[in-house]
Amino acid sequence: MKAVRLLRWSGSVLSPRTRPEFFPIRQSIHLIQCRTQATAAATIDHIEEASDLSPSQPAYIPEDVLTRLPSPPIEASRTSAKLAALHARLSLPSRLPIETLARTLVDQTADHNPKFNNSSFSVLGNDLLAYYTSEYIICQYPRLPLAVVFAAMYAYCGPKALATITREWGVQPAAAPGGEVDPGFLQFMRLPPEPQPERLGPELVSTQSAMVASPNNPNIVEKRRRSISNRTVYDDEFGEPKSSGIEQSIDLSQGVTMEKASANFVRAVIGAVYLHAGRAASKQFYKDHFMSRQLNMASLFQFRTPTKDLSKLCAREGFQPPIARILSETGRLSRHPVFVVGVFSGKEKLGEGAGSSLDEARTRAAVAALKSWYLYSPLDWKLPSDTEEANAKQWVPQMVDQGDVVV
Amino acid sequence: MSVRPTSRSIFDTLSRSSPSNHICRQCRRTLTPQQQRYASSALSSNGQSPQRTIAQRHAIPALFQSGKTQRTLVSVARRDKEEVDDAGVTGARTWEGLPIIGHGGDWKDMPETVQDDYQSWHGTALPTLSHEQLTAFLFQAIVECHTCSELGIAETLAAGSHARSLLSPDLFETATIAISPKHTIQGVQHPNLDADTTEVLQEKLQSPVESENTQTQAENTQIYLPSPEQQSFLDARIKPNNPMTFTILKRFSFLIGRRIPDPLLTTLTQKPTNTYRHLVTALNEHLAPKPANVIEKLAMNQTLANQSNVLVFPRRETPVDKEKEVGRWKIIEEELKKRGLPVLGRTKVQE
Amino acid sequence: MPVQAIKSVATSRNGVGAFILQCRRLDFHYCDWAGSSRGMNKLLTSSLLPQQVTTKYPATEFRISSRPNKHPILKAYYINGNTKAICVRNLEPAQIIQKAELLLQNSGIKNKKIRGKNVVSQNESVRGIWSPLHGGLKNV
Repeated sequence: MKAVRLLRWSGSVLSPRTRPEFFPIRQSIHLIQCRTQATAAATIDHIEEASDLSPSQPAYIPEDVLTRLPSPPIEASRTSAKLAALHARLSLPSRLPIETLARTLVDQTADHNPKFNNSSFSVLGNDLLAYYTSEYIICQYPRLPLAVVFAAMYAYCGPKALATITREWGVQPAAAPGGEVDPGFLQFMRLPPEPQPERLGPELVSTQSAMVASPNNPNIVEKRRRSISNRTVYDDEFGEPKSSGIEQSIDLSQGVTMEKASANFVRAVIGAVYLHAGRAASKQFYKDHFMSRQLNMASLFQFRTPTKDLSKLCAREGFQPPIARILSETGRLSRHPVFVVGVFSGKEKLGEGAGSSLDEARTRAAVAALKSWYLYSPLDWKLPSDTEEANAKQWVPQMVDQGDVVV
Repeated sequence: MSVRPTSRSIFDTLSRSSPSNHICRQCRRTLTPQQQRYASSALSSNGQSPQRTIAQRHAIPALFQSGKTQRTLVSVARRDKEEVDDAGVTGARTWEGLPIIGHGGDWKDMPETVQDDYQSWHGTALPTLSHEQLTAFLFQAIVECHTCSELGIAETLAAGSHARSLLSPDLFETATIAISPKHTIQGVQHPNLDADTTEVLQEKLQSPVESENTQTQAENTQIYLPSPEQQSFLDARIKPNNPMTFTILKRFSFLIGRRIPDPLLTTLTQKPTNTYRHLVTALNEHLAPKPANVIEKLAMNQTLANQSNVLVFPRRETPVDKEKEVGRWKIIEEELKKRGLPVLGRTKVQE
Repeated sequence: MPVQAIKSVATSRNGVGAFILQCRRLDFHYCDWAGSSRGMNKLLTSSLLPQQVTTKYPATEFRISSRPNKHPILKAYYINGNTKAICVRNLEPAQIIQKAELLLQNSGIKNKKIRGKNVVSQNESVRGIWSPLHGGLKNV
């Protein structure tokens, strides 16, 4: 007989809780499984013993035992309404069991046992997510500078984006991990609150090249010059240095931020979908939840000397050197002049910009020209992972650019 | 011309039309509230002439005078604390030893009176009879009725009998109910039935009404539970036109100590394919305790609770439960205990 | 200097890919004693709720608990963090289902008046906004 989620109780909800004799059933009502807390059950007066419980019903776990568990028991996931609702809300494939979804919500700081937390799923999911996102960005915009690629990656699948996605999926954090917590909550050990440093201006993908220690062996003095290009080899998918193994092990006892826990959860979901439902299902999941998000690529650019960059680019590509010309203007001697300047390479206009001074207008025009170059998107672009499917067409090589201009 | 003083005045005219029910202060002092009320109503209803003398007006009907305090107005006015000593009654100086009238603080402390021992006439909920018990009683009824009819004393049984068990348990054990090809009860076969049984039966049939409540008897009597082979009668159809059916049902309702509701019988007999199993099941459902609240009703029909995204709570969700769900309660409890504070409720302030 | 990049977050477009129902939880609170809760009690014990509501909205968590000595209410919790409650005192089961559907289909944002004919979109206009300095310039 299917377990009846009739009497569930908040914390102890999860698993079947109280001893059957505390359940208020009459003799005529038979075979009802109820979950009430031991404390809740004691207050119910009309209590009769459940004489005929079927052997398939799981044993009731008392509350004090549950509290000592690091994460909810497996049986709890089958009865949690929150979890079932989450499964349906994300339109997860039916091949993904509810128990696995419960496991993806348990961070490694909550439960150190790798068989009960989402660390393994998270590793797989992280790789899949990075792979799908990077091919999507690079195939769609082949000429995008690497820094902007990193920023775009961060926008689609960075920790902040994944935290936003977790919130949008309706997943809420538990206050503290434990066996009595509802499996539908995101469980992790929280870091103690710290004052946040004030950030002036938007967060940038730094392009400074500096000497850093080798990630593999921090004790050795040998260093490498970390530049924007060799980040693709040494650093992670967002262009940031990878965290070493020692740092990761320290995290387990101290706790993690909500952002990191959310990121691990989302990655774990993708990993779990891939393992249980296959590659096609995981790609579809990615398309539905990540590719449908909107990002204005043009807003990610931050130029310092756009005119210089543009002239170097024209020289590299063999265009005639760029010349800025006024297209139209008004109010030159007034308090609010408007100059519309176009940057021309020979007779072709590369870009146009309007500003309240000639310099500003020229700068904007150069920025527009550079963006039009970098944000080129071929009309029929295909993802390399499409060839993995059964009835895939022949692979047509996609455009590969030589890279952004070196200044 | 001397004006004869007359007791008539304008007030007399007025008061004659609506006689006053005023009780004077001194009467108020002597009379109990009940006496006052009577006096007041008596005055107003009697419509006595206000021309009575003061003494007449203050004359308390003898009925309402307490045996000890038969005072007149005069004696009341001149009463003094030291002088009053009627029949050994002395005025109290302190509270000690005085009986308390009413409750001593809480109305619940008052001693129980005869009226508090209330027994409802409506009847308390009777314990239900299980499916097995009902089957057993029905088996007994069928066997007894058919045995009596075969022995020719069915009419006496139809009139009603107050004996709990007409046949001995051995006879019940060996009895088999014959079912016709048309799925109706034909009769009962007893392999070892002797002539003595008839006499014993007739004696039992004529036994007088027993004083004990039949309903409690239904639970207390040891009943014979029929074996699965003997339970084949459950698949037999109820034939309403057959007079034996009436006898069986009458005996059955006596044995279980309750009447079978007419609507139940009517609905069952309307459909010809209804069997005795349907009767037992329907009766069991009817006798089952009705759910008193929503939770009990949901426990009976669990379609809603079986939904994967539905959660039904047995009682009110308290703030503690909300904390427990999120996992915060254990931390709260620990911190409070660390500080020596009460986890739930308040500590008594020691003064 | 090489191009630098600004870190931001991609915005979601609910429904373009997957659709996420905004109502994540709906509480049914009833009372065993109050007369105003008769309709609610009838609804909870009938087959209307599982047929018409809970199966149609599998993405929402439904909770049924008693709230003694109070009017019956429906309380909805949304993904944006808002809560909306409707008191369903003295309503019939069908009416209560109507209110429940109202809450389930709601986005959770505060009710706002739709003034004017504003186009709500994240994409820029197709034909562009008129500029006095482009096209049709008159030389005086």
